[in-house]
Amino acid sequence: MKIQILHSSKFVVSVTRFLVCLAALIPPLGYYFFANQQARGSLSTEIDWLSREFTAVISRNPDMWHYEKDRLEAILDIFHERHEMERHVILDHRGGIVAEIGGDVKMPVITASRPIMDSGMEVGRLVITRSVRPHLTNSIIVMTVTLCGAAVLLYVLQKGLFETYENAEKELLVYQQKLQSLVSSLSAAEDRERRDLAMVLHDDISQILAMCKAKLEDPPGGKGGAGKVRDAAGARRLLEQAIDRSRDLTSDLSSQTLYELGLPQAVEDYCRTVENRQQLAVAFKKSGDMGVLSPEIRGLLYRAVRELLTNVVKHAGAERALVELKADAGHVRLAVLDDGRGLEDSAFPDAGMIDLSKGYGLFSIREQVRTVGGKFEIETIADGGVRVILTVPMEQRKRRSPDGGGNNPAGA
Amino acid sequence: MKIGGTGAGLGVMKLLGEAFREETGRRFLVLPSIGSGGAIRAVRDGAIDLGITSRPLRESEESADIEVIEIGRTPLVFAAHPDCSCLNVTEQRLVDIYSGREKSWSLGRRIRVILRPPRESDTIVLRSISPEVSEAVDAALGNAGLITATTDQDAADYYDKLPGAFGTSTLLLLRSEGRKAKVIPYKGVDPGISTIADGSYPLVRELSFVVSARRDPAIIDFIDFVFSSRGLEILRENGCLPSRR
Repeated sequence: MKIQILHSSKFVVSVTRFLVCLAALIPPLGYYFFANQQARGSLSTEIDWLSREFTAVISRNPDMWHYEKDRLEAILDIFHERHEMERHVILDHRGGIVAEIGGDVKMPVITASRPIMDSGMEVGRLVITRSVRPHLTNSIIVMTVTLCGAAVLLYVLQKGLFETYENAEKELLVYQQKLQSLVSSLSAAEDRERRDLAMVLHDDISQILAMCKAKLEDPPGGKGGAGKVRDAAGARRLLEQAIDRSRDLTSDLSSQTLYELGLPQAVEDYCRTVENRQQLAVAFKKSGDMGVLSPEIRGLLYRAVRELLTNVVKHAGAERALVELKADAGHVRLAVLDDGRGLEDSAFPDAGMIDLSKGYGLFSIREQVRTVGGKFEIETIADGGVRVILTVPMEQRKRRSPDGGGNNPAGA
Repeated sequence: MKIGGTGAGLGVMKLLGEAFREETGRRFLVLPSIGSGGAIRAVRDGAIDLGITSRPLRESEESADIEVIEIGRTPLVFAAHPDCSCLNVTEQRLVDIYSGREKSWSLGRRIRVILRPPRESDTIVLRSISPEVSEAVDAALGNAGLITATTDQDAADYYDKLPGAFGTSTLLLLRSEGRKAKVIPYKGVDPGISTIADGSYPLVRELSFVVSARRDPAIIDFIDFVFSSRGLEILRENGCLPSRR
């Protein structure tokens, strides 16, 4: 859906650019069209008036009017001083020039012609040719101005709308890559988990049980009788060892404490486990009532604590860590702090993105937090170390997945 | 026989033609105004027998086929509607009127300036008064709201009929055509043949005959009549100071 929207946005950007360029051509073309229409209307009115005026002059002296060149030219000259822009000609009935003002008219031109009448008969003709070059010049000026305006508008759109679209598209592409990598990584992690589990079962528990069996059975042709236990005490020790390994494995796979005693106790137990296994002092604090946490939120926060403390052990070089759980106003806040070396500048180029090269743990946590409607924050502490804060609702929000289904209540 | 040309001389030509008919029995047809340029072209083409012009020939109009004979000079006058209260005009007042600064006569009537086309003799003489007057006339010609009279007769019609009308004409036209328009003194001097003869009235228009070099005897007789004592008397009575032939 988001891809479709962005592709639509790309189309909108292209269409917007095209429309802005097209719109820039409308004012000059419109100006030229209307200026031309206005000039034609003005010329028509003027030539109508002049032809009537000349008809009146001729009616006073119908036999000799074509000798009144000076007077006719004076009348033609009353309205027009710009001779380079217009040419007025009065022709007699044979087409000879009786009077003329103006010179060579610059292209483009418009022309109008009207008869000069004497008692209903055409005795001459008035022709006016007028240059509309000023309209063309003005149209070019208007075009220049509107193109500049369009350029400014496109620049503003580029800085605002278009770059927003482009950045959103880039962000989406990075997300797609990240999600594809995450899917691959999850498959690899699943394989790795199976291998680790198989290795623990084969190299550890199976070996112990095999040794136990050897202690319980005499080898063929041995000193003891058939069915006699050779070393019952050794076998018991080995069985106890196998039970411990099995319990550790079960705990690693899924915290029984989490589902039986709740999130705070499970987190505290895990903190103790880390403290016992690693060279890291882990403090734990809790406040508020977390009895109403949904199974999904519980699982999410527990996995987050494990991932974040694992990161502290692996990458932070820290001596101490603090895990804090706080329930308040329908939300749970999990904070994990350490006194390690802090984040590299490039690890989180902005609040929304996590560098692909830094693994998928934090990205996965953040996506899960977002999925349940929570907030993920990470920052370097001024005195050194990192603070990660997750704030999630106690009840998982019902969000519709892209395929239209609800969330799978995994871990419930 | 046909006579045509500038409107300023057509009225007196009708009077002279009538007197000539009474004396000789021969009749002339005086055509409506075709202007000085029209008269020169029409004589050259043989369309009329005698032309009346109020300006010298232009270089492009000079030809061996036509001849110019001076008739005389008549005052260019400032004319107005008969009801006009104006008693005198000066250079400064002309500037004020033509530039639009003075808009009404003393009794409150709006001044309606009647212009003549830029190339007409009246306008040329008016512009020659001073650069300031010329500038004011140019401004008036650029004002589309003012009236422009195409011919001398059109202008005289406005002075006769349009209240508040003011502009230029000739004493010869106003008198010979019996116009009612009021003649306004310029710088306190009444226009007349005596004032242009002694130079106290400076604004004049010259009138000339334009005739074909192959002139008809009837035309020679008419020109002789114009410069006869009867003809000269008619010219003087109508405000034209005759030239010496």
